[in-house]
Amino acid sequence: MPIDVEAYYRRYGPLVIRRCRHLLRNEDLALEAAQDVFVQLLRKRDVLTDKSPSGLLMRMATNICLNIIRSRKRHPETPDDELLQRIAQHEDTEGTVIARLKLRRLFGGEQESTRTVAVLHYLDGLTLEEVAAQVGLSVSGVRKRLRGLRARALELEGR
Amino acid sequence: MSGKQTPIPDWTLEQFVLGELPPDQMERIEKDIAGDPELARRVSDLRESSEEILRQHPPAVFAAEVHRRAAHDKVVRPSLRVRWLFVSPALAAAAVVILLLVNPGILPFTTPDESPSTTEIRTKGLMPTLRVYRQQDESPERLEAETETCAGDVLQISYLAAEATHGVILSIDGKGSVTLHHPQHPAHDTSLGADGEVPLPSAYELDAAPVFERFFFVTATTPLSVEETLAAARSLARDLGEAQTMLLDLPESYEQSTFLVRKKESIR
Repeated sequence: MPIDVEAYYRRYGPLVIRRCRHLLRNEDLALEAAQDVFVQLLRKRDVLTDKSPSGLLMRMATNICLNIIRSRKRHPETPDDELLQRIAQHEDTEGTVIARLKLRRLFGGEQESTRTVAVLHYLDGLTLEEVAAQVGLSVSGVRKRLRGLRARALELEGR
Repeated sequence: MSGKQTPIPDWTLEQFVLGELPPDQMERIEKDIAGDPELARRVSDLRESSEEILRQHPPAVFAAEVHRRAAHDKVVRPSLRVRWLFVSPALAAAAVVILLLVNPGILPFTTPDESPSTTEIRTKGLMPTLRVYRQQDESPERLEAETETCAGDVLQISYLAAEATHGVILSIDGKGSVTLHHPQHPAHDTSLGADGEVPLPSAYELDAAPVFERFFFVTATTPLSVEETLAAARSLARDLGEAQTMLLDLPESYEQSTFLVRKKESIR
């Protein structure tokens, strides 16, 4: 089904831009990341299956922002920055295929990346139940992914 | 903050403002807002922020940039950023001029009785566009997209056909009902008037359907199937969320422009 980008933006653009501002703390980058979200949305419109676009768009924005944070590698200025960078640097257990599969996950109901799950829980303060509802995983699935991420982080820190 | 419960995350509040949480959660937060001024302030701040963002980054400009990037089949990476919206006021001004040329809906207020000759010049090469006026005692008020309206408001729809020769105008409301505005009957001719801004023969009174009324203007340079267009509208109307943001599933050779008004009593 074709997307009316202007109408979609009127309804969802502000929340996407707010999300990107919150994660990137840079107005120019946030706007471009928000545009990335809508470009992806436009490209994948035929397989858009999510019935709660706000959740989908915020997850897409989170993923795109994490990729930008990962590529920037700037010095963290706040504890949240540091947390985000650590999450952004995390390699999902699925390895390099995640980039390829990411869109399919977002649009086709496949599982969300561990990085996004981590941001929702650690940064946004969603409970495990709320994260599970947002990303379509079971609570135990969310817990397992976060445990895996913590273990990997500890490994990387040599502890 | 009383400390008796965990603050509602911004993520959840964003979804609440859009009315996209499950009904039980919506109800719970509405109750919380009634007894928690801090939460009410956060909701109010979110709504104000949305208005501010739409002023800062107008929908027509944002959508044009998204389409441009999608057409070029590349997502700009941080190192290759295009900063034309920010670095140069001259370029930004040029962009506004271009947008005014492609989207007359964002032109400054003009009245339906504007000189035809002026309008004729403007429509050459432009996109077909809908204009919506609210009838008032004195003079009609031209509405902007997303304007709040009420049941009982009488709307006058007019269109600029640009270079399209045929068109269908219909609307979907918050109950999922589809109303045909042009032609007046599915069996009638879909020809469009070419003489500048053309008001429809009769005005339209909004009923009590909640949340929104969204008008669609489907155009082509050949006769259109009204039944096919209505069927696409009925299909879209099955999902009231999509009915506010998606276009009708019709051949790409058809142009579509839309105009949405909100219903005041349903604004969250």
